[in-house]
This record gives sequence, C-alpha cells and structure tokens, in this order.
Amino acid sequence: MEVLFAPLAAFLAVILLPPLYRVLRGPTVFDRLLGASVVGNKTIVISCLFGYAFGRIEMFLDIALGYAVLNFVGAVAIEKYFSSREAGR
Amino acid sequence: MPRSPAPARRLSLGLVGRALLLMALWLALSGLYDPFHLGLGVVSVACVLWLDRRLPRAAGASRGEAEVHVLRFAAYCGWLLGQIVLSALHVAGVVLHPRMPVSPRVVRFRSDQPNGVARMLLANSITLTPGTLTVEVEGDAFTVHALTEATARGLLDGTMQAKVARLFCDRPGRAVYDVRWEE
Amino acid sequence: MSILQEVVAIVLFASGVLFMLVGSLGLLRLPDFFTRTHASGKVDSVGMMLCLGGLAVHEGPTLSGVKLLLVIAFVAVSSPVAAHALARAAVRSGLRPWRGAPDEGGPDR
Repeated sequence: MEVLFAPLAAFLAVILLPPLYRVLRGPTVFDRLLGASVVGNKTIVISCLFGYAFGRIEMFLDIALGYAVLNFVGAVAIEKYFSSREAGR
Repeated sequence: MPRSPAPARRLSLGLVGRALLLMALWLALSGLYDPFHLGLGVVSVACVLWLDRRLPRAAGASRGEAEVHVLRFAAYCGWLLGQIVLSALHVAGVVLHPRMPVSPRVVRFRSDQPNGVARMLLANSITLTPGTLTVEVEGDAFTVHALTEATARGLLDGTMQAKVARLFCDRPGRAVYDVRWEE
Repeated sequence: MSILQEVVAIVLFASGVLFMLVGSLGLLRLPDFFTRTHASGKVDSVGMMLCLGGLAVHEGPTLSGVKLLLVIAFVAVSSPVAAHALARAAVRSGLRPWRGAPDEGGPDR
C-alpha cells in the first residue's frame, strides 16, 4: 500500500479544488464555511498520509486529531455567533 | 413523561467510571508510560472532572431519565451504521445523476421523546439518514430539510422516532404528529 | 503484514477517496447551501471515515491504529452536529432553502 500513498495524496490535493472554489466564490458566508469544513476533512486524511510518507505517523495523527476538533469547534462557534447576534437584535 | 424529582444526581456513568474512561483516553493519546507523564494524566483527568462539575446542566439530562437500554443501543448503532452508508450512496447517486433530481422540501413535525438525550440522538440520526438534515429543534418540534419529497415521507413514517424512544423507555408516546410542510 | 489486510485497506481507502470526490463534486454542482450541506455532511464525512478506516486496517492493532479509530469515532459524532449547527445558523440569519424551480438556473440569492 505504501506505493499508493503519494498518488492518493496528490489526488486528494486535486479534489481539494472544488471546495476551495466554494470558499472563494460561495454566494453566502455559509457556503464558504461549508467549503472550509470540507477542505478540513480532506486535509485530515492528507496529513495522515504525510505521516506515513515521513515515517512519523504518531505525530501527524495528533495533528489530524487536533484539526478534526478545531473543524468541529469552528462550526459550533459560528452557530453560537449567529444565534447570539439573533438574540441581540 | 414525568420529570424525575432528584435534582442533584446528573450523571449516568458515575465519577469513577468517567475518571477511568478519561484516563484510558489519555493513555491512548499520550503513548508515554513513565511516571511523569502518567502523573500529568492524573492531573488533567482531575482538572477535566472538576471543570465538568462546574458546567451548567441541560434541563432533562438528569440521571434517572437518561439511562439507556445498552443492548437496544448497540442494535441501534448497527442499524444506524447501515443507514449512514445508504445515506452516502443515496446522496452520491443524486450528485452523479446527470439531471440532478433534487426538489428540496422543508417539513416540520413533532415527536414525543422521553428526554433531551433522546431528542439529541434523534436529531443526529435524522441528519445521518438518507437525504434528510435537521435544521432546527425546539422542544419536541423538529424542522427537517429533505433533498426530495420521497425522502421526507420516508422519515415521516415514524420508524426511527419509535426506535429512538424505545432506547430509553418501554412505552413511547406518539412517534410523529402535527406534520406541516412549509410553503 | 498479510495480503488480505493490504487488500482490505486499499479497498477501504479507494472507496473513501471516491466518496470524497463525489462530495467535492456535490459541493460544486448542487444548487443551494442546504443541499450542499447534504453533500458535505454525509458523503464527504463517510468518505473520510472510510479513508481513515483503511489506514487503520493498514496500521493494525498498534497505538496509532487506536488513535485512528478515535479520530473516526470523533468525526462520526461531530459531523452531523457540525452540519446541523451550520444549517441552523443559516436559517437564523434568514437564508431560505431553494425550492427547485426548473426554469431558474440557480438559487434564489
């Protein structure tokens, strides 16, 4: 499977582009956030693949876990922001 | 559903159980087993438990109500896993279809659930099942966005609502009522 | 490392990558925010879980494998919550779902 890691990571990097387009162009701010979370999902997998490529999977797995947590906290924080703005009106 | 009168007990796992669970998580994440790092683990578990005690509790999440039938829950998890895969295949089929047959509908319904944990579980399960997405939960009223009208009708037959309610009590209330289609 | 383990890992990872590709395409093709949430919240996270599952099978029963399973469990719990949170924020800020008029080419805002 090791020989497949580099091409798979490259392919994942290519399919990062559509959500990136959504981040740049998305008609509403929520489309941008959605695009960012999808970019985050793919980044998690790519960082795991990087871990195998560099032979330091433990370290890169911690990064991936941290990224997953941040992705989630970001979405919830945005929800809180909009809810509190709504309540403040 | 009668509210349980006990106000103070609010955890279904117990302090020791949660401490052990957190410590197992620490051991899995740290990977270093010398006394210094184990000590750090004990300190952080204690900190987390202390912080957790200070958190305000959501209403209806107290102990007696939130106890779950373990076997039914395991069966439910298996069923849900199948639903997740079906859901991904369904949405993938819609996306790859050349004409993209989407006709989104928003539907509101009410469902009697025994407690807040059950409502949370139901909202998450709706999001995970094919073509439906929970948009808003207020009390027992759920607002759901569906990719097509057929997927919304599949949700409104009440199978999942009854399954979730039966995780917590033996005689669930009405699974689905007061259905309103928006627009 | 056995052949069977490798085959299972590659199949899981490849199907995960395919799901991620479909998720990306869905984000590009679908007409409005809510329908795109369906693509990202389900297809993409299932793809990611399959990818990480493939890596976990490749890794086998080591500490890293356990960590990979932890990441999968976290994503399984958090992705519907995140999708719901974004959708709720969108509704609260006044975004209305697209109603699928066939002659109009796009969303209503």
